[in-house]
Amino acid sequence: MRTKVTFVLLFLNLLLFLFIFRFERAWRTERSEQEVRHRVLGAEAADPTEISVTAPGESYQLQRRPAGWRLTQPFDWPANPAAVDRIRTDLQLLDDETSFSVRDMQASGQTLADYGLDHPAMTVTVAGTAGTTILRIGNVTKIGQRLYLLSSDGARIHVVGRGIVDSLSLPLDRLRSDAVLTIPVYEARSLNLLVPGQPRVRIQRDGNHWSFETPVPARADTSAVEIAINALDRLRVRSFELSEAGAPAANREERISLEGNNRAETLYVGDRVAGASDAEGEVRSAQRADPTSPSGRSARFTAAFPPGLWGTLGRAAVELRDRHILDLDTSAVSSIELSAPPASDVVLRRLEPGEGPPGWQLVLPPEGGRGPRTIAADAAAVRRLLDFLERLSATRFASDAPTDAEREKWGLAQPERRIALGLGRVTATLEVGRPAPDSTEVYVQAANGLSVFAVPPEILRETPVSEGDWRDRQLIALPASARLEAVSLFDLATGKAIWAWGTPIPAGAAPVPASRDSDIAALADGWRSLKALRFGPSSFSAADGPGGPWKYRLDGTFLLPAGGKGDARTTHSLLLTSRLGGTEQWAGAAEFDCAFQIEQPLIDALWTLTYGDRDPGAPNGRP
Amino acid sequence: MIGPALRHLGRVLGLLACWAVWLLLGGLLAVQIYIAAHHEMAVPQPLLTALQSRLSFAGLKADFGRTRFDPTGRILMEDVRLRFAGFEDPVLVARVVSTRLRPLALLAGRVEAREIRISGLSLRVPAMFSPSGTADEIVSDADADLVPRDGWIRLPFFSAKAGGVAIAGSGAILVPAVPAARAPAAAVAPALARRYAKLAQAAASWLAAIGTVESPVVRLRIESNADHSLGVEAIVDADAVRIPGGARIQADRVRATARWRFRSDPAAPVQIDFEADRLNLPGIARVRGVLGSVEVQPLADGAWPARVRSVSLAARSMAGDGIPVLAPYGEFDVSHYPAVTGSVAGLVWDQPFAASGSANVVGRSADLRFAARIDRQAREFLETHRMKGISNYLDWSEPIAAEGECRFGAGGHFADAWARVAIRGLVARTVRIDEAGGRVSFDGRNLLAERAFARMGSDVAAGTFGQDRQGNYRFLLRGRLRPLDIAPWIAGGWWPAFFGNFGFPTVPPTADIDLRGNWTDGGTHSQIFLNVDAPDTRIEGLGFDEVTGRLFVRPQFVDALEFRARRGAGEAAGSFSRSFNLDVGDWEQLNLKVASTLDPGPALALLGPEASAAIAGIEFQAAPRVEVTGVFTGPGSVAGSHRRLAVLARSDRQLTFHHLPFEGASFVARLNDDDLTIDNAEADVAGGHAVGAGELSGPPNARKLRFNVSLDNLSLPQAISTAAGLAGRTDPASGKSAVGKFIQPKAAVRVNAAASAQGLWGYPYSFHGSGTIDLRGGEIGQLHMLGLLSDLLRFTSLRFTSASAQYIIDGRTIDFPEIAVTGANSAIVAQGTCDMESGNLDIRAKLKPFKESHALPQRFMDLVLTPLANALEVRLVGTLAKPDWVFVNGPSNVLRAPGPANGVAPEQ
Repeated sequence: MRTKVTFVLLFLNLLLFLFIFRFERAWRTERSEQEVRHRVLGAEAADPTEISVTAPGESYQLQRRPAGWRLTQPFDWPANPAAVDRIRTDLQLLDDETSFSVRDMQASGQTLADYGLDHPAMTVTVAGTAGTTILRIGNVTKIGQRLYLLSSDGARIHVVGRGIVDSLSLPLDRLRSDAVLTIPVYEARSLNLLVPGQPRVRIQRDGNHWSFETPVPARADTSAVEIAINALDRLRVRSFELSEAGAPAANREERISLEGNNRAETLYVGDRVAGASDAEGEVRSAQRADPTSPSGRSARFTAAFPPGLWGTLGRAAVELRDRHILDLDTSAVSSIELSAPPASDVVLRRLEPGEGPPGWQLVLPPEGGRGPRTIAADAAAVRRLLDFLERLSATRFASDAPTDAEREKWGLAQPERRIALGLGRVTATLEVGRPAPDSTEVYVQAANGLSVFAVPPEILRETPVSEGDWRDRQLIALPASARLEAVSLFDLATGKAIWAWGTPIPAGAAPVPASRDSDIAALADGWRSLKALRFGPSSFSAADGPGGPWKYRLDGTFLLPAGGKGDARTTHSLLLTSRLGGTEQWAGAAEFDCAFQIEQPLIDALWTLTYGDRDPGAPNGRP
Repeated sequence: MIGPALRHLGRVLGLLACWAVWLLLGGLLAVQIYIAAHHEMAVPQPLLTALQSRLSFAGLKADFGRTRFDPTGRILMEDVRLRFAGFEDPVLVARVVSTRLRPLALLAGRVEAREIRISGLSLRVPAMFSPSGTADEIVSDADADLVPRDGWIRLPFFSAKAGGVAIAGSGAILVPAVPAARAPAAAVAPALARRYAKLAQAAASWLAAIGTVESPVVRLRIESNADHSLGVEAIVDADAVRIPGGARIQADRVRATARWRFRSDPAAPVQIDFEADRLNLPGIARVRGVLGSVEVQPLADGAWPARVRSVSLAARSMAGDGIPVLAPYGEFDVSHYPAVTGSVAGLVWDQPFAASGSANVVGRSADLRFAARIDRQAREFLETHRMKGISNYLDWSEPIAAEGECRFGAGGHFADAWARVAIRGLVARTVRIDEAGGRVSFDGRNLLAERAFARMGSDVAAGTFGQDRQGNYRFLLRGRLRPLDIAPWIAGGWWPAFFGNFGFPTVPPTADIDLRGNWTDGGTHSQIFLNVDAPDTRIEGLGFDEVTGRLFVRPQFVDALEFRARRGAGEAAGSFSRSFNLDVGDWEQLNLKVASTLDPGPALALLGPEASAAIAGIEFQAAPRVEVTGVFTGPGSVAGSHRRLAVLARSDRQLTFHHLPFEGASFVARLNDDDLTIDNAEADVAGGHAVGAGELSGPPNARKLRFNVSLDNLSLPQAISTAAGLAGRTDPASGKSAVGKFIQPKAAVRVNAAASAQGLWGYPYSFHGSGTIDLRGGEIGQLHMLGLLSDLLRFTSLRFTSASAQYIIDGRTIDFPEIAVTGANSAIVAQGTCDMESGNLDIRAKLKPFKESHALPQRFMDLVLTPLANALEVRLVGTLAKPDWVFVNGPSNVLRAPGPANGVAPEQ
């Protein structure tokens, strides 16, 4: 009896235990939790691999692939990650405002049809690692613009906001990625172009620079290349041409390839699309290479190519080539040698640290049995030359494989100028061809290179081979405190003073009126820091100047203040020609043993002081 | 005895045990029936206490609303509230927290959750820290699943809202091992509270700021790594982002992605990639298709906000201030903020533009290097936005290549810029320049093009061009340039008016020019100084082989400081200046100093018809040497029109004046207004020498001419031949003079003559004066008294060897009071007048044959013929054109009328 009772009790306990823990699922805690929660979806929306939306006229399918999300229906194309993430997040955060069970609904005599859920307006399928969830979206509530949504298990009807439909009903052009190429410029390693009828162009990154590999090894214009790549990256799909009708023949396509980090993208660009216009450029049909497609190509689409980009790609071998003749780091140049046979060479040498303040020397040829002499060079002129050479650009790429006949024709057989730049242990030499009469360009060729470039003829003006063009032009450098005390201009023909300023005034000289004080100040400035614009070919002669006979003598005295005691005075005298041209007037002085052209400010000051009385000025009454 | 007792005891105990089991089973059954009947149970208080105790370690106090659990180990806690000790406001509120405990662990006394599900969670900032003063939610509606296992907490999903930001994500976190020695709760709690408060404050501020983000969505992926570092990937999407403030900056459809790792290297940089469909920077730019990345460097302690190290930006297009930029991109290093270095590039007006340099963002200063090609569309931009009217004076057909540098000073003020430029197809104020280039700089006020060059067809110039903001410009050029090619640059019309006189048909002149002016003043301040060397030049159509000169020119003033014009073997050199009165519209003064060996005919034609008329009738076998110095004032002068001119002329070769040949002619002429004085006029004429002077003076309607001419030692035959030539008495057929026979025997006759008269210019019969004429040497003529018989009786021939006459010019009449023709044996004495107007002659002549002879026969003949001579007194009448000899005292038929000597009719 006891045993029976015991077993009965044990059996009943066991039965109840099994019932409770094995078969009973509808614990109130779980239901309570469900009732309290408002999220429609949980973990099943967190990591989807496929999202399908079926709605009249708006069906599409998104699939997650290793390379990212793709729009697989109605056509295969990379999806817009932002749009996909928006859909995913909206699904994940989909809250109901209320919900009720289908069973309760049916119990109250309602059917799914009453909520539009028997034939839902939209069906959303979310498939993922957590299984497949199907949401059916039915009618809009009669008030409040909400929607009825049937849960995946069909047990509950959620009332949700309309936002989810707006999120799921994105147009295809928002769902798809509109990027044509996606390798950004900083990732790009090479750019390859194949234009029908032209040699293949391959440009590859070389550190911070780009270089042509084909058709000829040459430096590429880094900015131009990167602008082109960035412009390619900025191309956008305008529309899809799902028909292949009118597709260009393969041999008329331009092929553009970008290589990045372990990936490559290729674009096939065809003809202009007739009748299509776009403010951003020419509308052309194109296809991307797509290894996953049976044809190896993506769907055909159109894109607008900016004219500048398209023109550049069509002439890439020229447009993307670095037009700078020299890849020059001017700070590394240690010497410059300019040759123009039969004139003697001009040799400039940068002063080494320890040789004095930074600057340049002009190395003069040996004289009188002594070795080469050096004098200070005009640092500004050297800097200007280096700056010019650094920016020297080809107006045209004449040839990358010139024949002897061409070299002869371009004057390179006997160069007009040879420019050798010392760069440490190496020397970069540039030869400038003899210009043809009335030619608007000259040809240059690196001594160790093949390519010949056409450049403006100013290169010959910028590389004179006269010593006078390179020697230090500073003749007088008085301190800024030096004050002009007196100045007189004498007519050498009569020996009489024409005018004078300051004290003392020579007998017979007309004092400069106060209205000319600004000209005197300009004269003083120019004289205080007297610089030759150009040196004459020979040493100073008191008889004649290089451009004509001396006409004037300018005597001046500067006071060099020394704090009130021991003020010093320095006197200078210049012989001057007449003003020989708009920019030409010569001066000479025994103290410098040279004749030289004076600079424009001094010409202007002297002109006003010598000619001002004769100049009627601007017409009367016309300010 | 003991046995039964023991057995009884055993039964009792067994019964008790049995009942105990029954009671236990019955109780268990009752409990299970209760559980099965109720489906839920209240959480036992000890469990809650254990949980509260665990939370208290973190300084948190937990309050629970309803708590239930079911036999599966699931605990459901509703209305869970956590608060820090010392705070009244809860910091965490959850609508429901559901956890499933591990039953076995529970049986062992451990509370281990198998799963935790949180729903309706909100995090709140305590009121005392809240910017609004109320306990605002910083996170709300959070749902999450947490699955703790093997030291990890997996987050299959979590979602939340934070101030309107939707957050969703998933992840897995490696829970760090609990340190063996726990810090006392009292030490941890305040720190945690402070940290939360700080975080909540920051979050509240962020959320306040994030209110400007429209529909933001954040996707988070959190993954712990084996090194316990926490990798976070955050993707933020927003429909729009508006930057608060007055700038109204807005970005549409923004997406940002950031990945960073906590704990492993706090200082490791974090890269944030972002993109936006549109970015609107009002007043600055509208950008489409923005793509970029920011590399941020957390501060040393790993705290945030971090320092931005670098920024990369790219866009599909950008339009700022009317400048369209396609595919712009830039990379910036901001690790030394506010100092920023970087580079930008793009297609501006479809042409490449690239710049690099450094800038101070706070100080708004920058040093930039740039290279660009500037499309023609920039002109339209400048026209519309910056420089209205630029289209009127600047255009170019091909993009301008420019490469240079640019600096901005503190405050973003433009400091200066320079560029080396190359231009083709430039049109500057309608002047088309094929090619130009140079170094162009601008300091904000002055534009300067140095070492510039320009080519316009065959014109080539190099030099400097400068211009200031007032439109004052200056060209300093050397080269070959036709002045009219740049005429549109100089307003006022004076430039073409002056240089239009010059033509350069083959090559442009070589010049060194200083040209200044103002683009806007109508050319009044224009001035030019030039040195010109012009081969093959035409001046008003007259060709010169070469013209050189130095000129200073203003609109109203031309000063040729020196000039030289070469034409064939001739040359003119000198200087001149001419001023013009613009108010009056006529010339004012001309100063001239010229020495010329040019053919004066064409040369004087340049000076106008008046100058040509001055030498009308003069022909030069070779160009004379002429020195002219003059000062002219014209209608534009306040002094009125005046002329002062001095001409020193000398011709080494023959010149003819109305066919009258002169050799070695020279004169000095002075013109003073209308008074012309000629001094020292000399010439060799007819084998002799002529000297003269003259003066033409007086008002135009009463001009007086006074002259004084002396002819010395002229050859009579030459004079007669010349005169015959002048009179056209040369046989047209033979070219020989008809007077040849007459003059042939008189080769030795010399003539001296003088005349002095004055009268009204243009009125030849108003002259009054006198003169003499004297012929000497050789035989002047013979008179055969007996006709042919005189050839046999030679003494009857009368020979004349000298003649002299004085005459008085008296208006229309020339009075000859005495004309004496004498010879060795005879004389003619005559007197009379000639009316120059009618040409009538009235001269009486008496022949005194043999009167001068001392030989006997001749004396005899004189006696015989004296009466006859008186009777034979003849009179020359008629006109100059048709003279007629008549006898004064006898019938005309007594003796024949005396014929002309040697059969030649007397000439005028």
